[in-house]
Amino acid sequence: MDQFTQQNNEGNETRENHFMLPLAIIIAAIFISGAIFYSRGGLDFLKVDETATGEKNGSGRLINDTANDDLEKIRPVDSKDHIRGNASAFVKVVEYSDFECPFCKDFHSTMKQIISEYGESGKVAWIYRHFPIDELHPVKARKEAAASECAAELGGNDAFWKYADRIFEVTPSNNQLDLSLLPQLAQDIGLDKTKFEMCLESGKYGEHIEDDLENAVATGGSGTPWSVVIAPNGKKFPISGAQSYFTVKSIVELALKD
Amino acid sequence: MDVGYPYILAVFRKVFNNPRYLFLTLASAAAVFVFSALLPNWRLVGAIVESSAVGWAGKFAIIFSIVSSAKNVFGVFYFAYIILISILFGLNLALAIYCLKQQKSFFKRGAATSIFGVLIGALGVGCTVCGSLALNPLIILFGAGGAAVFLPLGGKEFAIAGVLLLMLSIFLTARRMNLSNNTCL
Repeated sequence: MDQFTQQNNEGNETRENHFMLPLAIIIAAIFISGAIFYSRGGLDFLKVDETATGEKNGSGRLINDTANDDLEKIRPVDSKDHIRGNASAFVKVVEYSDFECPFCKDFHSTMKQIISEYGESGKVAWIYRHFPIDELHPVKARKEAAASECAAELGGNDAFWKYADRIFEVTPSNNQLDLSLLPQLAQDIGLDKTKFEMCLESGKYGEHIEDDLENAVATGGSGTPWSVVIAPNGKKFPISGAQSYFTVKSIVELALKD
Repeated sequence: MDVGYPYILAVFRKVFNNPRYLFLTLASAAAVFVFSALLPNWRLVGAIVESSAVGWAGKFAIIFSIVSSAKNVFGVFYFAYIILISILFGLNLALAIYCLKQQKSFFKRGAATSIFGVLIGALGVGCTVCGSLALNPLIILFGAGGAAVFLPLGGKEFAIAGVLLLMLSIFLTARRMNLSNNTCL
């Protein structure tokens, strides 16, 4: 190899290195930016809600655009909801849950503790909505959700909660509950087994469950349990996952003071 | 140059006998772990930080509790995965910085590989809820939760890919080190 070639090789090598490093950083930045962009909803994230009101900046985009905040899409709590505690409680914990989810089973116990501490005094109300994860718990999650609705139809709000407690007590989770047990669980809490089976077979609660699921997703839920703690002033604290009793209690205390 | 496993172990001993690199590894691993644990609840963390109802000590206590609840949020597999990925990320970063410091020129051949190795390691950081932070575009392509439907391990493939990428990066970086003259090739 002559001197010219060696010098040329060294020159080529240096030019290649100058491109490699910034290229590496740019590629990684594109990956991470893309991830953040798409995880916020892609192009939908850039849309401005035309009906939203508020202060606008010089280019017309809303500042503090709370109308576009996912959490504001939460369906208001009303008399059709399954509520444990006082419906007029200061703080409301809206939980979107899946009966076959093992983390929801843990969180159910945590919320029972919270309600035992804050429910009777009217400080906290617990609202249960359905968020069956079909990809992980096909068929069974929705069936159990429908079963709980049938329990509510036949026995009222108290029956709903007794039934929900029973499902979480007996299910091994992870889509392993034997669905033939569902009517027996209804009978266990004092409901008419035949009427329950007829209700379950009718499939009448499919749309209601789907509405709950869509609301969970609309508020930003991507897994279960997904909860939103609503303070008296309307401020919302989203909780993803089965957080510990201390965490939930602390959030409730924050919400009560806010 | 021998670049077998005994050589890689010798590189590790060389680098991590220096307490500064050991500290860098542990600190960056802790940072990645905390970041991963808080990621599913980043909006909650924001709401806690913004709240005027509690002081900073109280805020830190709640945030620490959220980090401690990570096992309940992720489950055993992904919790173990996050710990592993955090440690591998810390090792990768320490090795890359050690290597860069040995370079006489920042643009010497191989520097980009080290940096890229560290940044690619971010592909593995993620959570069971939102998927890999940087592989989310792939998950979105299949639809929300759709990756779990199509993949035989229910999405754990992303976690395994992240671990393998980081291990590869560590191996490649360690292999470039010349222990005899303390340089990175």
